[in-house]
Amino acid sequence: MKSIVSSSHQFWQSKIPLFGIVTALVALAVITGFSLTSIDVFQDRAHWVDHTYQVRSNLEETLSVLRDARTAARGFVISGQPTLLPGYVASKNLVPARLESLRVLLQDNPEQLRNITTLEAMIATVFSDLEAEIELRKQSTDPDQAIAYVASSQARAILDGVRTEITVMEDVEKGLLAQRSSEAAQVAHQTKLLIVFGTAVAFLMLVAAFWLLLRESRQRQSADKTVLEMNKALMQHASQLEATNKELESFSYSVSHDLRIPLRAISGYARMLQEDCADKLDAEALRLLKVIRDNSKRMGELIDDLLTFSRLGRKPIAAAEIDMKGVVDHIIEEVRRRTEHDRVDIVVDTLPPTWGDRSLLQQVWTNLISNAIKYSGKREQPVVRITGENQGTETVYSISDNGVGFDMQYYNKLFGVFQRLHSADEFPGTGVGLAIVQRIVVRLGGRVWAESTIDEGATFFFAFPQK
Amino acid sequence: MAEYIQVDILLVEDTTTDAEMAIRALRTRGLANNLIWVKDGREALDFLFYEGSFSTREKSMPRLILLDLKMPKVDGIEVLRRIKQDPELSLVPVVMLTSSAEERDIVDTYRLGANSYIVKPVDFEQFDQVVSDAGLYWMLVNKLTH
Repeated sequence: MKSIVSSSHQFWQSKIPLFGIVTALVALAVITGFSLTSIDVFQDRAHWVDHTYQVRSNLEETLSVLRDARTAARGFVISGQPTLLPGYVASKNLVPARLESLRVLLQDNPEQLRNITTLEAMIATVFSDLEAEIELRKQSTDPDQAIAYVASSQARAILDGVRTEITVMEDVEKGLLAQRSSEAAQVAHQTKLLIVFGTAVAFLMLVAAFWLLLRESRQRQSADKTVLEMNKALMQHASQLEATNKELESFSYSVSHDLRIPLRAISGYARMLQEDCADKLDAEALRLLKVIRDNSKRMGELIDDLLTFSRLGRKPIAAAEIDMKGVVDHIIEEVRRRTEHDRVDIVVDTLPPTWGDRSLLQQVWTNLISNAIKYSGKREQPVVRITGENQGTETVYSISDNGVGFDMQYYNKLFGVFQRLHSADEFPGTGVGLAIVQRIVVRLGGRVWAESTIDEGATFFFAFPQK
Repeated sequence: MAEYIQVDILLVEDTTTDAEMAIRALRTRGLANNLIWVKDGREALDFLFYEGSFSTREKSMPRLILLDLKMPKVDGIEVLRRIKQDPELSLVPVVMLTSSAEERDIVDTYRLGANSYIVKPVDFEQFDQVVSDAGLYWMLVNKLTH
């Protein structure tokens, strides 16, 4: 449970640096976007400054052309010199082009277009007034009359009106420029703020991400170190266990080995006494000597079994596919030859092959078959049945007999070393056979178990995982 | 020439009871008349190479060596090695007579040139049988060099 929580915690922790980096990238993208827009705004503003300048310059020129026309017209009226008239006409002809170019410049500003129309009307009035003065002077021979007309004409007032109109138009353009400048300034301010703020955010996010990654890497390093230390401790423990195991094996081997020497002496010297001093010993003495020899023989068997059991732990396993049916048939033949229980009916089913060590599996079957024969041998019709089949992921073998069985109450003692559930008088044996069976089966990666009902028989099972 | 004794069997055995039983088994078959018993590997080497207490011994080689494996001082493996390294002694058959049924011991001794390997049975009757069988075979049945 703890590991699940911590792994989910680690999952989120590992996402935070990614989040920081993504945020920083987004901030940088936004800054870039705004900066580009800002540049557009400034380019736009530069264009409008130029525009305003063009409008003003056109307006000034229009006014200047009007003044020139009026000066030329007045000059003619006062002096009567016809050479002045072409100057007037030239100035007058310049006006429509000026107005047209103003219209083009101001085409998207309806207010200024209306102002141009007003201006045009005023200019038209100025020119018709000047035309009238010129006509009057041409026809009249008295220059004073024309001069008086000039003095009385409205032209001056109208020209003032034109100047005023042009000023109005110029002011409109100035106002627009000021508004656009202020807008551009605002955009510039916003952009500045955004750049500062966005860069700060990106920077902070990157620093946070970097810090988290650094911390994670440190944690990982420290975790790696812990794992390494634990591994080392585990290896040490394993090698200690191995050493202890080896020590135990060699101890049990030496004990069994060294026990044989005095045992052989006991049995041997009892025998020598029996042979050499037979004439000096009575029947009771000979019986006692026989008891000594029988017991030393039994102890010899115990030691032999213990040695076999001890050797199992050290014998290397030679794994191969084993024809279990062949192994079992061979062992039955051998066991029958060794014992006088050839009246036991042994039924062997088809046995699936397994993967293991031939000599070790032979030992397992030998012990189980000998047991089955031994414990059913006192029946009138002893039957032993051997089966085997694939069950799920395991191959399970069983051997059952109709013998005396055992009390399931003592099941936990069944596979123990030197544990017996029957007396040696009833059934001979050392109590190591099933311990050997269990040790081999477990060593080959399998499991062993048994079921029994007293006086009805017993079934022993062992199973190996399928290869 | 009064000191001259032809040694038939050299028994190298540290356990007195085993030695006595072996000698008894051989004697009952008439094989122990010229038997020398030494109690460890050191003594065996002294005997075979005329050293220590055997330095004045008349030159002669046994016809059979019965050699125990686990012994104090110098063990059976070392004695066997020295015997089989010697050009003359290497012709004498060496029968290992030991309590060890260890595969490693069997392999090691055969590699060094042991002629036979016998595990001492725990049961006296079997022990008696095995020792006398070995004596009969190597002394009487098997053809030896002279």
